[in-house]
Amino acid sequence: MSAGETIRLTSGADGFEFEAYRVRPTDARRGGLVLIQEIFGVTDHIRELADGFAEDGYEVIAPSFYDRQQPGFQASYEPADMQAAVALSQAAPWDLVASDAQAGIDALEGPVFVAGYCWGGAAAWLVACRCEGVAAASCFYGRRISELMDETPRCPTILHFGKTDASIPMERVEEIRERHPDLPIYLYDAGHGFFSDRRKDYQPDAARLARLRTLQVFARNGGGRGEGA
Amino acid sequence: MGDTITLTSGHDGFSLSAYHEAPFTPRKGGVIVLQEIFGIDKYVRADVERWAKAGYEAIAPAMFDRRERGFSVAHDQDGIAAGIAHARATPLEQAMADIAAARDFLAPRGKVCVVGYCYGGSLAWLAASKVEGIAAASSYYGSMVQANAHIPQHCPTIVHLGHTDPGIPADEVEKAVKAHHPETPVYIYEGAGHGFNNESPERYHEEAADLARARTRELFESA
Repeated sequence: MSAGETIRLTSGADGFEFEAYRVRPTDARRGGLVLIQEIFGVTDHIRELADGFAEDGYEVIAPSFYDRQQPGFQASYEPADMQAAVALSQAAPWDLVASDAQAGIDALEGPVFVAGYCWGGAAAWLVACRCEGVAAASCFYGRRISELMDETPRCPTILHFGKTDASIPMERVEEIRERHPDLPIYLYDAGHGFFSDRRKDYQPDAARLARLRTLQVFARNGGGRGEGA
Repeated sequence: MGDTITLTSGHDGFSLSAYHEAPFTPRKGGVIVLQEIFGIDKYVRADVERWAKAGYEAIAPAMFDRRERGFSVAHDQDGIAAGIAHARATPLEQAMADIAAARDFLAPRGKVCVVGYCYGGSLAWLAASKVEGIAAASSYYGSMVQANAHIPQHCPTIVHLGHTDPGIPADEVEKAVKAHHPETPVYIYEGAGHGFNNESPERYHEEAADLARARTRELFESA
């Protein structure tokens, strides 16, 4: 059961039209959010995350980043699907990813934020570095941030990693920290994918804290409602 | 996921509801969670769950049930106004009797501690004096603590205040409490404001919340 709908966006880079899941805020509006998928596509899980942010006051757009290669792709967490998903993510050039994300940003009223998980964690980093009109970014366990490390986010950006993530050794995280000493990097007693209740590495306490930190960096950069007594 | 139970107040025989959650781990005791002015909202329920995860059977009585059942409002100007109106219209002796009903529910299974936030922080301070059979109390940023600093405390009590709380002058409250209860710890959190334990993006202050929770857990465990 999803609260949102499917919309179509047009990439500025090549005019390609692709789908996105959009859900409107169910609480007083704080801003827009481009939510970037894991390697698995815009799955039920991603739509659920989007619905969750809508409950916190965000209008959320989750673009379907593999539409050029395989429209509507959604993988399970099974090994065969996983291979296909990895292949699709590797075949998506960063330039087009940034342009597709920009289409999502432009479809939202500001302030617009970005959050991404797994492959989307690196894509969210890319968006923070290259896209226009992003107020803050939250990047969850993006292994491929390492290959984009020479770029610098143009908005307040926070990073989350699991300390026992087998796919992202702590040395890689330390390299990012050395290259970008001012960025908050939060480490959790968790493995890869700790935010997703579909994964065996799901760690609810880490997820709750990371989500709260994400809402705070958004609230402090234009997504506040002036609450307080 | 918790459930809702019913308590009967000794004040007037009124049946009020309370959000309840059983301990996740071997039971250490009971905790009464006293709400902010906003009612039993998702933040109060999250706090009940946090205590349940820490090994306590936790309940949050709905203090405004006589005026409005199921009251839960946003933290905006309208919500604040509605919450303050309910709090002002709730006699303190009635609130104490409702807390005693929560104590009666938990007491057969072990010690009962009280933690309260904002409006509930004031009630926790008062309950440590006026409700018998409380093992320990942890009072967060209650605006009524200063005026009631002199009342005797019948159980170990700690007080948490945010230094930048615009409505509660932390240093003055500390002075007032210390004048009557030099042994009562008053913790002032630098950089933290009102509601710093509340996990809303505007209010939550992670370092202060973690430290105050650790202090409260330590108090309850040793009580």
